[in-house]
Amino acid sequence: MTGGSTFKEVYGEQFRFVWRSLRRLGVRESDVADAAQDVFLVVHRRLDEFEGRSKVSTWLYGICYRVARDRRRLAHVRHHVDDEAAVAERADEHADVAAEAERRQGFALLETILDEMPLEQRAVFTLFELETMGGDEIAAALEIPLGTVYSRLRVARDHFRKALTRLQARERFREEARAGGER
Amino acid sequence: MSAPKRWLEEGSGATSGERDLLRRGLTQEPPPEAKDAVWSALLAQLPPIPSGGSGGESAAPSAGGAQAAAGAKAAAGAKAVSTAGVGGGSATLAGAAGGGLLKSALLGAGSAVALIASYTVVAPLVSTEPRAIPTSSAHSAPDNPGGAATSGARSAPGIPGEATTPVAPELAGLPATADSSRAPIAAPSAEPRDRAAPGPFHEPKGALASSASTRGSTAPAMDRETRLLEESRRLTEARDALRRGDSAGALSTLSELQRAVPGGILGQEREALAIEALAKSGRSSEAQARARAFLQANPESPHATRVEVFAR
Repeated sequence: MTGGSTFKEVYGEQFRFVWRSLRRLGVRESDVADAAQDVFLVVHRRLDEFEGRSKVSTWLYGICYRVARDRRRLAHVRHHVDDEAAVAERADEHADVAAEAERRQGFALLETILDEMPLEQRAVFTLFELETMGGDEIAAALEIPLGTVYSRLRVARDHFRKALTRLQARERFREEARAGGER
Repeated sequence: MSAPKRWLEEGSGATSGERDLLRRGLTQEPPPEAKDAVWSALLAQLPPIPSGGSGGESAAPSAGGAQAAAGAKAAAGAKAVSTAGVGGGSATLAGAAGGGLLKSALLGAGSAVALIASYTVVAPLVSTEPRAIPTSSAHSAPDNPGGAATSGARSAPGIPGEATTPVAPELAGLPATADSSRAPIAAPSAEPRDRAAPGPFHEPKGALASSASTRGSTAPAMDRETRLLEESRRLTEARDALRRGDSAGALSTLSELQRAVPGGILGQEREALAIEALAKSGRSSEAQARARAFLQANPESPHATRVEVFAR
């Protein structure tokens, strides 16, 4: 058992973690409620089997990973449509148009880079850099050796770095082309 | 093996550009209403959750689902069961035999690891349960996940403890689908063929998908980064102009952007900014018309609250 946690408690405590994890695994904003539901249905069915061998969060992440992976397989055709649907997402009364647009815009760039990574790299990268999980927790969540965690992290960082450099180069090139055109 | 420093830590060796971009990923919280919404949807698919406290509340939707399954026949039964989720073919049969059986199927499948994959195929359909439910007599609760707490929920059959009882499947003359050792075999073979395959995944999820589906999806994937960068750059330009009070400049940048990247991944951002710019440049009736159109097309937009101001 989860130290006696009921399903409802797990839901209450972990919903945000699940949501965040799914998003970072590339589930679109428009799909994430469905995916979170999938995750918790699995949790509900398997909670009794979870014996506290690992932390709840690593156990949950394993489920999130499988759900995200399956959705990715099924949904890759719709990928681009989803991006646009994702625009209609959160309602934050405090954000003005400009600030919200800016936030989404930066986020879209980040997602573009993450989307190019294989899912197993993306998982390690986001868990390590954003969720600040320890290497051993990541190893437990993904059921891989610690050495693999770090080698994936290295590859993912390299990927991220190159992708960003490429984006920046392209941006510079276009600006120069523009400047040239205006002269 | 020592852990490397995290990129967002000081002295990690990441460049400032890398950190800036990475930092965007830190804030990824669900919208405030999401937690309750997903919970309600879950309750509609689960047997009563014996968590104490809110028992009545949690029992209502699933009880309704069980009744629906029990009461419905033939095709109607199959559809109703799909709203209750897991179990696929076995649950359909359960629907024919009785409400308690549905729960057997649900929980029996529960221990089946192999089911996870097929499970996610079914679930999206599940989440659309208000449309999928064909009859109305027994299941007002699942139709109304938001207002789940209704009285009388407890009267429904099926406490989770019953679930392991293998009686019902035998009555139905079927392999014991509630038996966890068989569930992985039975369920995946039944589900995709029965209803998952025809493509719940391809159904637009309400207005969100349909409002967006015409845009961008036909553009070559190769160009995606370029388009996004272009949009991003011009939106920044327009926003800066708007902030320094140059609404005419903002408007011209935005209409240029619309010509260059029609539709666009950040199309809502563009339109919301344009509405604001129109209003600020005194073209309030235009702003109002476009604000109304925007809200009609994107009622769930993150910009809706702001845009409403201009629609009045």
